[in-house]
Amino acid sequence: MKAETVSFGQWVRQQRRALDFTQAELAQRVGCAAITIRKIERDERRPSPQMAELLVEHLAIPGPEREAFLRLARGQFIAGGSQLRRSDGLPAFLDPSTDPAVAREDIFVAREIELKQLNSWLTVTLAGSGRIGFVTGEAGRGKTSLLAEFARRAQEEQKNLIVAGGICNAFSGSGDPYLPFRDILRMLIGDVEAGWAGGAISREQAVRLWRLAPYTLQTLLSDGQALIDVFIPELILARIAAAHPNSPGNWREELNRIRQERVRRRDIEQQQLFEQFFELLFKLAARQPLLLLLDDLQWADSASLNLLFHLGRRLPESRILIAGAYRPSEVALGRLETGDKDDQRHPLEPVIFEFKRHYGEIELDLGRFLPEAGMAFVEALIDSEPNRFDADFRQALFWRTKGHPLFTSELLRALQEQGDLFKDGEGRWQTSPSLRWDSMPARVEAVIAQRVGRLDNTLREVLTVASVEGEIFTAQVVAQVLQRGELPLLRSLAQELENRHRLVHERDEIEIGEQFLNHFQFRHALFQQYLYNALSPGERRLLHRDVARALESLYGAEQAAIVVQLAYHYRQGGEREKALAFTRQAARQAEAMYAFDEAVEYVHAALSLIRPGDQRELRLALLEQLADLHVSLGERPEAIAIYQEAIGLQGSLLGENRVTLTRLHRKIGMTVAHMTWYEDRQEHELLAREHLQLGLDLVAGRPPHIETVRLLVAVAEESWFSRVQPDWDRSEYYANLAIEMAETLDTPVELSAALNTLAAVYGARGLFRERLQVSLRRLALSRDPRFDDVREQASILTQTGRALTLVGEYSEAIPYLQEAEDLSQRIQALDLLFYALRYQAVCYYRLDQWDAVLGIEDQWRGMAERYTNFEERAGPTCFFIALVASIHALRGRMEQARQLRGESVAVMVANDGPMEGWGRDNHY
Amino acid sequence: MKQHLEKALTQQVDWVGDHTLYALLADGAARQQDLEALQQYAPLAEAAAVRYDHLLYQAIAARAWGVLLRLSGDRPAAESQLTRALGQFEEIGARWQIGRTLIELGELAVSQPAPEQARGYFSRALTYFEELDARPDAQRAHQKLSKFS
Repeated sequence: MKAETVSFGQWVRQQRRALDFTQAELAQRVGCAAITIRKIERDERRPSPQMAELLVEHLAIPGPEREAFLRLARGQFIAGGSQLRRSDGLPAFLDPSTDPAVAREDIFVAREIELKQLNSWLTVTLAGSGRIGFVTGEAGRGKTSLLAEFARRAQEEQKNLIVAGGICNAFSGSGDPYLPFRDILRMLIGDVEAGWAGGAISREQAVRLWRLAPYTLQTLLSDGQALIDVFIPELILARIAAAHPNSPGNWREELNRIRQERVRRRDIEQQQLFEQFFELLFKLAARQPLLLLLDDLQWADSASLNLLFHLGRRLPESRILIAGAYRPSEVALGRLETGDKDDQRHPLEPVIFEFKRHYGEIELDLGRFLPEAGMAFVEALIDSEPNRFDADFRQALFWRTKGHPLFTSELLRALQEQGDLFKDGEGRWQTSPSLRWDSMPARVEAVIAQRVGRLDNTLREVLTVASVEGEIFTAQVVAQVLQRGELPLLRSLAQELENRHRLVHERDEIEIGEQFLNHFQFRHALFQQYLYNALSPGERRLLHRDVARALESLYGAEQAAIVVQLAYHYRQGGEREKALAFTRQAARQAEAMYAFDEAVEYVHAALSLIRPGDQRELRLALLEQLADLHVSLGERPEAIAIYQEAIGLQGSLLGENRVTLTRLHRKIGMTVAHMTWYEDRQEHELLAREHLQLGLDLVAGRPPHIETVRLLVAVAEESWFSRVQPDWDRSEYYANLAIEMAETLDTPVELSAALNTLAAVYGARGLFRERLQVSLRRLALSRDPRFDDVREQASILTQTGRALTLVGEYSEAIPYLQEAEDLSQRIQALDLLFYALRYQAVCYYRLDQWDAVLGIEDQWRGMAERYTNFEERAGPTCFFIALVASIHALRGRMEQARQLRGESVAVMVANDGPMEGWGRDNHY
Repeated sequence: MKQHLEKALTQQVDWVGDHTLYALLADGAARQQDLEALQQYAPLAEAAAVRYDHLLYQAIAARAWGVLLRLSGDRPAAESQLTRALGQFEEIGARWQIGRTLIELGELAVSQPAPEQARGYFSRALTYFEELDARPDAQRAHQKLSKFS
């Protein structure tokens, strides 16, 4: 072998093949994971000196070449080896000549009825009417295997079907926003290497996803910008885009633009995020149908369930089938929220209920005891290998396990391990005379206990530590906690626990900083639960602490990726300060992802970590954050109570902070002013006024401050917004004070807000030219680079257009309204988008450009069909309908005109009640 | 319509100003040839439109004045107002409004009587209505033209 002509990886590969070893066999000999050999052969990884020596030995490198081999092992690592491109556009890791490093050996038998049902759902989906369905059953019933087999067969039959999936996590899942959907999106952008190498996805599936990736990237960059860094880290997106030969040519510029805009975008809503997610899937499915698998939904986070609910209702217009799996008993138990005293209904329950209402039968229950199906399963499992088992054995096995899939397969394995079953000279299994059914475990848990019980202490210790990290665990974490070498530990996991005992399997290998981390997964969650439950509370606490420390040190500068896990393990480990720090970080992350329910949970968890009487400033900050989150959730009365609690706490602090107090008082005033229902506003009106006055008392005679400007704006708004009899003089007075102070402070955002309140006053007084001047001034401010709120920019553009229409400058208004439309479209702000369209329609109508109005009507009707809760989100449509009715009347289509007028009146009555109570807009 | 607009006038201003309501009331009166309503609303519409420098409403008010003056028998003043309205509508580019104003100018020519001039106005109006596919107005323009054949 000439070392000069090949890379180190090629050398290893050629030598391995010459010796007729598989990658797994070489890995076993060297004592590492098969995936490691795979990476070495692709020149993606350099072996440690110790491993290089072992490779020399096991690959039988001849003496004269050993030095060159070791030198190459040390020094000629080819960075980015996986990005070597092949002529068919596939990355090197999908080279058909290389087998997956880890081949799953799961056996799937029977379940033909269920597969048929799943297939019927797929058939209607492929015909253009997507849907959702769930496989249900308790642990070990074979939900995951059924979905995997269904996906395998579906891909075999449907050559353009794309399959992607995500799994919820028992430990971090309910607090890790969008976890399964993040997995799905990563697959859809072609981040498939780890999943394929770990055996979680097939080569065919990986190839299809890889080929779809450029289209996903393009769609994400054009229509799914809000999803970046919420569902998919920008770094991963950039890595895939750089590696893929067919990536959009302008991806770098686009990503750069999106990054800059994102910094300026503060106010998109969860609904917009969901809309973009659906749009992305919808567009991908228009090209190739999608099968999305969601496993272990009983552990799903609330944000994921909200997204699932949103997607589920829109599927019929797409070629998307979502197939989920969950355990009904866990859902029935409900979920204990940190901030509540009582158990709450599990958030999956109402989602399932709604889907049942919408789709009819959506569940495939694997938990029902159906003797025929159970027996068929047992027979099929037994006959998956050559055997001489008679009918008695088959019946006995069936009656022991009732056809429970995990129980049956584990019991068979246990019988094999303890010698009750053995292979005869022809390689056929048969029973030993020692077999005694009455001494066999009666429950699957007991088989698991038996199997784990047979492990030696060292292996059991490994799995025990692993069980603390979770169903999926990191080999290097276990090594650190047990203070063992990485290599021997990987050897134990790969050779003993995976190959021999079949209790775990390798999942993937990821690169963190300068090192690689190997993830393994328990073969079934019940093994992990058994080991974890066997620990005493004290052991658990200490191990969680050690796992947290190991994770923290291994991830180093990349801790942001595992904040949720660190927060969880430190909380369970009783390390208060660390737990508090990471829990707060998790709350901030969740909030940035619009996962407000999760963020609320984390803030409650953080508050519970503060000892009574301690860290008052921090408690105050958390209370304010919590109240802000309730506002974001639309839970305004709850928010007010928490703001008040924070004010009470602030008052008791030494050297009370006026700015904080002013802000809290202002927030109460604003929270009331923006209550949706008039009755709610009325109920809290006095309270709002009282707090705003307390705020004014605090700032009286003080130097100008940005918080004072905000308070003055709030007072100006409250003077008319929530009052039966608006006090316009008061509003104008405080608006002018706010403008003056904002000008002094030179703060464009606050100045714009202050001007907005003055514009309202002018509007009410019929001073439309003055109002236009204010709008134009706001527009100029919104072009200031410091003005970082895109939604507000879109709103200002619409208001400017609207102000121009009031004074008859229709042609001048249109460009502003079109710009508002573009901006609203980009951030998927449906309400603003509709308003921009509505006022464009007014302009065109006044300019007698009727076809343009009808064109907008088409656009608007399309939106109404496409978006759920359109009326709720876009606001009343009566005016627009009336406009279109007039055009039909002017064109002599009287029937259509009458119909639309009726529709318009009906919308008005629905929104504003009977005609007697209508306001000026309605009569107009 | 008149009833709703008059009710709206008594209510709090926000985005719908008095100038809009007066313009609609004056225009409605012009279409109905309602002298009493024209006398009531044409001056108010004009004043409000001038106050906001609202060109479209000024044109609508001028047309209403034109109709009012024609019905009152002051043809020269009516022609002046209608010509002014036509110029303003042309400046805006509002074709239906131009067509409607041409019809009013045609009616004025008929009352003079100046049939050739009237036919010219009606014919031009018809072209605008047909372009817009404004069938009822086009039909009315046809009827008026048919009287000259």
